[in-house]
Amino acid sequence: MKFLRSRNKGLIPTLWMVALTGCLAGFAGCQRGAYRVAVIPRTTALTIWEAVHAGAEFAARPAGIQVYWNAPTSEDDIQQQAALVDRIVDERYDGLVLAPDQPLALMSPVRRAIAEGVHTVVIASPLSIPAQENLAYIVNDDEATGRMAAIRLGQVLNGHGSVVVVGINPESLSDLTILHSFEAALQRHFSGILIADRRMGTHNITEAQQIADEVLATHPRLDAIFSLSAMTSNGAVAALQARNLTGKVKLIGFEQSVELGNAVHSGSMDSLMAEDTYEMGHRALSLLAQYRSGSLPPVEVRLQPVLLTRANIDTPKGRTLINRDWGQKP
Amino acid sequence: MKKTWFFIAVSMAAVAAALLFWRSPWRGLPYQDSFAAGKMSEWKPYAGNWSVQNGEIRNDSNERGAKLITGSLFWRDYSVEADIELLGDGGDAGLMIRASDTERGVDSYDGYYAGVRTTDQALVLGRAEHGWIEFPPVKMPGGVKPGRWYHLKLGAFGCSISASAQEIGANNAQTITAHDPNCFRSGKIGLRSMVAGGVWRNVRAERLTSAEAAVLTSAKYPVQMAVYPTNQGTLPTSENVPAPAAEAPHESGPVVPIQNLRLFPVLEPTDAVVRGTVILTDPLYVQDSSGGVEVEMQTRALLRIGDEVEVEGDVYPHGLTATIRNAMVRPLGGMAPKPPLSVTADQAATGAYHAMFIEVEGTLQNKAATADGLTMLELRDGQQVFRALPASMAVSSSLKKLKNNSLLRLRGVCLVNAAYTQNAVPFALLVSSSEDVKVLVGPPWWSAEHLLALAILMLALGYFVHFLYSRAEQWRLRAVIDERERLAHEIHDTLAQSFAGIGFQLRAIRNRVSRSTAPLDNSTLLEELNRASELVRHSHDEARRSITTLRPDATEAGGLIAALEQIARQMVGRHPVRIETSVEGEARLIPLRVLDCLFRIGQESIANAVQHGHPGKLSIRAIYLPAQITLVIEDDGSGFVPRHDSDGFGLAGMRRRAESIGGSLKIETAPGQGTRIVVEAPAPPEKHRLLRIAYDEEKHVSN
Repeated sequence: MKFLRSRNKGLIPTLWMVALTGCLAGFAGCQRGAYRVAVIPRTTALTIWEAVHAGAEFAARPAGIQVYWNAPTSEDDIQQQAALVDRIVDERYDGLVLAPDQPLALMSPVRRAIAEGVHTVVIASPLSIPAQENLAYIVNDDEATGRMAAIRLGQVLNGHGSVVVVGINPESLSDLTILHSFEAALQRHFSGILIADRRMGTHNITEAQQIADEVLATHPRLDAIFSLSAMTSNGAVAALQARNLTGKVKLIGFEQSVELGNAVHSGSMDSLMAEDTYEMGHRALSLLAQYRSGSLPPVEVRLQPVLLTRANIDTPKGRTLINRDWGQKP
Repeated sequence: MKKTWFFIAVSMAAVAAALLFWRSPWRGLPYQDSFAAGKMSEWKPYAGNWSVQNGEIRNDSNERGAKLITGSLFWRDYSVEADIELLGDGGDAGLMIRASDTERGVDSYDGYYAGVRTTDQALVLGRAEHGWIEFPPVKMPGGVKPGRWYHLKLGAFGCSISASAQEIGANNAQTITAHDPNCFRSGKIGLRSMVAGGVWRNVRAERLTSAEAAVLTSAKYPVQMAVYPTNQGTLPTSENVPAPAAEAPHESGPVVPIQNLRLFPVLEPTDAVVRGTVILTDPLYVQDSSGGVEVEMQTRALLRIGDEVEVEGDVYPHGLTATIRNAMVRPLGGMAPKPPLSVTADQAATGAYHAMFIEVEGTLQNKAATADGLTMLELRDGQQVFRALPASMAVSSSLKKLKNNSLLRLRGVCLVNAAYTQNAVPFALLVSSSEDVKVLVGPPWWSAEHLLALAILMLALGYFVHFLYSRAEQWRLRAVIDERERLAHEIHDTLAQSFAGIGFQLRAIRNRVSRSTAPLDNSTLLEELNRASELVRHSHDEARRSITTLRPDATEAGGLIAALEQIARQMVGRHPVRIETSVEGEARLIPLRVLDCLFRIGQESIANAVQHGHPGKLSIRAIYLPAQITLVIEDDGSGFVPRHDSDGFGLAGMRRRAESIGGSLKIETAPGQGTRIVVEAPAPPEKHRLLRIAYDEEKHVSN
């Protein structure tokens, strides 16, 4: 015992030193008290996702949650997004808010995150995994989007005319759901409106303009275009301007951006179906803050889209949806 | 020794018998397929898409020269027969015999092939030697049509080959019999199709009957042979090229890319026409450059993988997939099956390759059983986890043999339907042939199982070494204790007794000197002093002897004999006795206990010989035998009459000493004949290494 006592005199400071060194070396380890959440949108290159950032930050700050914000440079870089999710899991983040680029390809990384106990909230569009412990969904109501777009189109065309749907991503469940809902609503409420064509989308602005131009050339009596992505909406705006058809061919877009907001404001576009991305980010972080000390319940929320027209684009709600300044509360 | 030779002879005979049995031309004959039981494990595929269904084996690929091989390379004179149905036009299907050196490729084997061919409506027989030489074909009365069953038999006896075919239910048998002077003598059987695809059932192989052999023996070498070195088939002529079938007029809408089908309306099915290539027949999947789609036909049609078709039907989109139902499938032509698209798991996980034939790599994570009892694989590539599902029991069996953590390259139809993925993985690969699974890198040796086994082995080894060490230590301690005990006895029997005697003598002298009032009798005193002095000398001799036996060089017979010789010379003194010593045999270490006993017996024997025998010659010999050491003390003295009831001259003590070390003592003597004392003591032929260590330790401790 005497031996031990004499040893303890040197042992205790040594243990303290080891603990301190370990703490300094793995700074994150000492920060376990701070709840860390990674918010990964589809890309950080489009302004639509800045509203998620704003919503997330404004919900996180009062709760003392640290937000890490990053995403692929392009929304079709699925591999990078999957790698990012894997890194978040490896770095022992407490929470993950993810707007998946693709419903299937992100399944495995998200399953791993759930298995590792990361509180995961999927926003914007769902995965094929059902909601479960530590996996919640706060997504856009895609059926409502298609339905609202059809009703808006029926109103502006007075129930008669032809429309082309462009910008469809055949690997996106959300796009296919919006398309099918749009078709169903037209058939139910405005059977006088015919879908003349369906075109797939692109993530390239020049190609998007070419597709829109080709649609206008192929369908000279076209009355409207329904675009399912911001990129194709930009291309359609440019094509309509080039052919001097702005206002004559009604353009309804899905996915908002500052540029498209300006186009609505100026009348180059009829309207925008806006995902409430600010609310998605805010609710996701609020949910994580609420259940930070336990398991995340299998919550499923479908947020109604917002129809932005020239009439409401400048309202506080409209500005929130296309807000890009997450540094201060709007 | 005899037993060893007998064992070697029996082993060699067994090996020779096994070899003869293995190379026997009749091993495994007669052969009957087990397709009815759903088994084809004894068959090895070389290309094609082989599956067992309803007691039949099917190759629904129109690949050129798809083969399925079984049997023994040593089968010589036998026949093979089967019922065959062709699945399509433009080729043939049949049987192979005496096949060897088989590999993937059109005619990439050595052996013979006979089949029924649609292009010239004929029975064909030929020789393949990684090229094709055809005997003159014969027309089949009634022609050769897909969907009809033919019975085909192919036999070989010596260098004569015979093929016969008959449509089942018709009386139109045709036969080709040919003689091939440079024939292949032996080989396996096989099923083979060329473009047409086919179905085989009742595959049998058996020895030829004597009647069949006699018919074959009479075969003649054909007048001419047709040579098609690069491909198989009859040269097209006006006779054998069938007139193109008149296509039924039909009206169909514009052909749409398959990928667009998922954009079709969901409220009510829309009619659509797609064109593509068949990549799987059951269920039917058709693929074009944009994507793939599952097709449910109105009526079942004979289709092969690789067939180009036009599909018209109702489109039902659901999620990221679509199905064409109530479909009419119109063949447009045939070509080699589409090669797979090589993609990464990340690409396949996007759903862009749904219902397309792809090739993907992954590391096998684990195997699980499906609800149907089939073996399913779960693989990982980067961040993606996906599954491989077998399309048949045969494929399932091959998947079951794969080891976890192997890097695999798989080919199959990529499916993202929840029915296949259970929403647990982004996509599943439907593998239709065991050929579509290739192990690129086996599992690393440091798998958990191997590490566990290694740890157990190391533990067992450590335990064994510890056990041996403990035993050696015990032996060493035992040897030390034995030696100490021996020394204690030695001291008690010799030095202690001597000292007691010396003490007794000295006390007697002291008492006499101290108590005597009369003048001392010098002669008596001198006698007692002499006796004491003699005891001192004796004790000194005993001590010296003990030291001699403890010396390292006294651990062999050489040392023993030298010590005995020294004693003998001391005892003999100035008497004219010739002393001879010798050591025979291969010297080796002798346990101290044995050596000491031999020394004492030898010492006693020498003393007896010198004191009582008065010899002129004394012989001291040590003889090493394989398992014992013999000490012989022989003299040419007066000898004596041996008596068993009471041995004199300390013989009883010598005998007990010999018995104490497991030995024996023999005395050969007679009056006037001298005496010969033989001591036989056990001595291990070769000391165990551990014993030797213990022995050395013992010596070390003793020193």
